[in-house]
Amino acid sequence: MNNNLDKDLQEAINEESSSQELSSNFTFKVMDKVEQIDLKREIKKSPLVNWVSGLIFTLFGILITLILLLGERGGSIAINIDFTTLQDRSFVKTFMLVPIIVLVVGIFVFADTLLRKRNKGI
Amino acid sequence: MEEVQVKEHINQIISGDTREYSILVEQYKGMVYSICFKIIGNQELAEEAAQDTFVKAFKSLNKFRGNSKFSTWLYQIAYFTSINAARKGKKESVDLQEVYLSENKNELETDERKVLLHQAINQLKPEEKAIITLYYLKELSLEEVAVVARLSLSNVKVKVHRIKKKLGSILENMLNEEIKELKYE
Repeated sequence: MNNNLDKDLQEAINEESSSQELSSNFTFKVMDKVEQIDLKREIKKSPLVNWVSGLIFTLFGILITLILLLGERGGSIAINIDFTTLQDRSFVKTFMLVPIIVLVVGIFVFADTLLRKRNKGI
Repeated sequence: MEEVQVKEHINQIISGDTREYSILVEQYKGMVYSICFKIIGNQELAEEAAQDTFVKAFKSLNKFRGNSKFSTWLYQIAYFTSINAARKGKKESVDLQEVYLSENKNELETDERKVLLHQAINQLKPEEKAIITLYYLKELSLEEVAVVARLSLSNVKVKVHRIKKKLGSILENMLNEEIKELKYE
């Protein structure tokens, strides 16, 4: 019984039927879909690079502006940290730079990771 | 096509020559479609699944490490794509299968056991149908079946044994129904 079932299953599964004929333009259809994916990839990668570099440049601009604004009058960007003036408002202004710098570094790392990932994908 | 040649084509495709992919499609479309058709049991859905298989393979071509044969990797994609397609279109597929069977009734009447077996196979779950199909396909070795189905060799054997048992009881029920019908006629 078991051997018969084995034999019948083998025959049934391996028999060729007329429905097993592929349409003549099968490869063409697949290649059409594949080329569409390829085009989508091209479109996807260009704005991503522009967006990241745009963001980096914008942040650079903001950082430089902030440094100029927060720095001492006369355009000097030297930072003097005086612990005796903790109550002074200028302390807050000076230390504002720390989170900004951390943020910029963080964005650099994030942008770098994004670009690396995208390059791998391509 | 030798595995070395396949890898050369893959490298060319990854480096941007998409057209090379048509060579691989031409080479493997027959077997991929055959797997899809045998699991899904419907010509239209099987062709769609075969197309999806090649598109998915293209998308993940850079992930193909060459640990197994390209064909095995491709059949694995076809296997899981077909199971999903069979789950989605199960009702439609069964209906169309019935139409197909009734249309070819005269041809199939010559071998009633085959008809019954086809009907019994169609009553299996898509996963069960898929594994039994791969197991009995002449073109695949047991090791390849295990890789394609992501199972161990012993697991494949156990599953096939259980499915055969299930098929046996389905066939038995079907035969009992037929006997009952004959008694009432």
